[in-house]
Amino acid sequence: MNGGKKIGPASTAILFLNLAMAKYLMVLPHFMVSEVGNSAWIVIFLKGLAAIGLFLLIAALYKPYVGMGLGELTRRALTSPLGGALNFIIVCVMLVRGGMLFRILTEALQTLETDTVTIEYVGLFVLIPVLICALKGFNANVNASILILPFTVLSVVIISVALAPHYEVGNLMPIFGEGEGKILETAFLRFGGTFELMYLMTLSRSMGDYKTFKRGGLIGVGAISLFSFIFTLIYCLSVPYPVSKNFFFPLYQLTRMIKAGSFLQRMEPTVIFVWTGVIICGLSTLVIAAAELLKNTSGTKGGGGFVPLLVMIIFLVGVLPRSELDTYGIYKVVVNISHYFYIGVILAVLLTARLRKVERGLAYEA
Amino acid sequence: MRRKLLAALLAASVLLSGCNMSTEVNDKAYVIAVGVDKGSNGLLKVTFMFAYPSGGGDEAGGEKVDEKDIVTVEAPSIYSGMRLLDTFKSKRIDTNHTKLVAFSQELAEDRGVFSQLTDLVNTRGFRPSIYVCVTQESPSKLFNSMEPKQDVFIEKFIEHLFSKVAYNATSRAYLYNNYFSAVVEDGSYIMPLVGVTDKEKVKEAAEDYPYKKPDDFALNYTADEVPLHGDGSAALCGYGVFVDNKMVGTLGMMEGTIVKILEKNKNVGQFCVLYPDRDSYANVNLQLTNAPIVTVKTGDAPEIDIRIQLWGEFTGIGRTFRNSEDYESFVGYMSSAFERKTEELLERTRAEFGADILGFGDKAKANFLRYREWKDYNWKEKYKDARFSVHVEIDMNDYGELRFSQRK
Repeated sequence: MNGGKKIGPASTAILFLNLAMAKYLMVLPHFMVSEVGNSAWIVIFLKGLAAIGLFLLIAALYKPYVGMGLGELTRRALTSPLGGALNFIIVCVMLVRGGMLFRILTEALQTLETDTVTIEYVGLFVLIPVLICALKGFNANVNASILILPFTVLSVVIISVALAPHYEVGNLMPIFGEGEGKILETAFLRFGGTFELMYLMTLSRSMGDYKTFKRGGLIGVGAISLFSFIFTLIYCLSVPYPVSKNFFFPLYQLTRMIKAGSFLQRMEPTVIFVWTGVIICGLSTLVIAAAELLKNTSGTKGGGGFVPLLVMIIFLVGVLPRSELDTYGIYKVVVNISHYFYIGVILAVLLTARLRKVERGLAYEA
Repeated sequence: MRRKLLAALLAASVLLSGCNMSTEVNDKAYVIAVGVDKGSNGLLKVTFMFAYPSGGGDEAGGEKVDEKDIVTVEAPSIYSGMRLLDTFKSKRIDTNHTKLVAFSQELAEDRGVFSQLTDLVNTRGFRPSIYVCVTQESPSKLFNSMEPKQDVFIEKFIEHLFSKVAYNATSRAYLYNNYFSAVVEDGSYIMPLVGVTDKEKVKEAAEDYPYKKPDDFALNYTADEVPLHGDGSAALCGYGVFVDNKMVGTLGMMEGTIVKILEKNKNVGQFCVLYPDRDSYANVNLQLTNAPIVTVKTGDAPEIDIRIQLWGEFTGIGRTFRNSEDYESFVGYMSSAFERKTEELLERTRAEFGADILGFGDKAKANFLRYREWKDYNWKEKYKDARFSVHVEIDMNDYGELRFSQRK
């Protein structure tokens, strides 16, 4: 599925951004504000620092196994049946989370562009490109992300500049919102970036050496932390609490608020192309990672055969909740639980592999 | 082969898209303004003003037609009103280009407008950047009185009227700003006020105009008093005051200007200031030198200190100053008149309305670290005991003097 080519640190970072962008820009600010109020920007900042620390710790533990891929490592460290079962559970969690993310983002697209058609119809137009992108393989996916990323950055820059007249420092007060305890709890007890880190480890077979993995991962974690921090700060500065808690899709609401003269308004149809690109790249990377895990579990030669099946499951899981509100509820529960699941799985696998002195990966350079 | 197939598929996506789901501009009826008034049996009277496609064609039939299409229905909400329109309007109703939603004063006083604001913000039919206002007359009378003589289209007239820098109600007129204030400040906020000039009221006001009016500032009217001679016309002037989400009073033109200063709008505008002996007047053009410094101390009784620095020039002095003392004394008088007016407005918010309609709570919040502490402080009640101190400094230029040379 990866076409046999190795990717460099920049592409690794873009891959990480690709995975995280849809969630961190479109979903996370609302979740954080609903937990801690308008001090969400502090939480995101602390979460960013925690994510960098966590990445460095896991990268150090993962050092000998870079190039092996998480799926293969799990199987070797925990023996075949147990490792295979764990890989299968990871895939299931991925699919539920991916399905909910697909639904949330598709609902956003439907709200913006085509309110007269059903969610399944819009979802089809999201999943067909996801299917093609995932079938084309890992490198094609990275290349597509490289094309989309500058536009994503540009759209965030335009939004932040155009909204400048609406910034009110008073919206950030009282500075600690729901209290320091709640801020620290949300920032450090729910690990940020573990989901993306797991993907990165799953796909590390395509990343060459440890240096690439570490540098690319660090740049990715740093960049997404910065983006997410800036975007949440913009949101908190522009929308006062408790209104900010009630807006389900901050990026959409902020874009709707833009009115800078006669020309710079009604921006959402313009940036929707960028968001669609981000959603498609993010979901296709998820599918590729899940296919890679299934390949490692089943021992088959290629993972391409799993792709159509996985896309179909994401679609079916995504359309299960009755409403967008239900989807948010399920997604929130899954995210809150899966943080502990992912970090637990990663640490358990890495520590067991170290203790059992599992054979090193081919790409490791001493 | 694969590339050819991909190219063929891409070409097909362009060529086979067709126009099955297309909607022509001509197939829609664009709502330019919506008016909401009190109806019978708990219903609302919802008035829609539609854009009339100009430029002749079949619809105009080459004859001059009325350029306004105003329809009023009774319904429980704006959206259900739109649904009723579907029963007799041939075209599909579209609110994507709506510029204004006007609430009648009667409705605002009796039932408030919060549920309507929430409706408008939380649905995608209306943009959050549309303007909202309170109208002293019924919305249908307001829409009929809007005469776009300098503008080709009525929507441009509304856009220009509400976004004018000279008056600058813009920041307060946006839907989301009003909604934010209504939610955050416990339903205490101000909303731009539009009136239709009333000949009788104009006549009464004219008897006092300009010298006899007991005010330091000659141009101090409410929306329906603006002395326009001729047919009644829509005038955007002052604000409607909302406390607990119901309208309880109005602010006039001068008070509106002070709001504008407190909201850091740089161009304050032209003033007609009466001399202390009320014998003649001076015209001054004022601007903010720096943003006003507002300090709020949150003790048992909040202390609100406001420092305003203005810079301006005389555009007409009415009479010659005898000497520099005379000049300085007038500038000092003007500063104290501004101070007095600002204090009067603040005192009015405290004593008459008993609510922080100008949003000083935003500054007060900074004195607290957590929401819980801020809630416990009970700003809403504490504001009723607030004490104000206002300091206005006006720095005037002489004719032909450069601002920077004067200020060294």
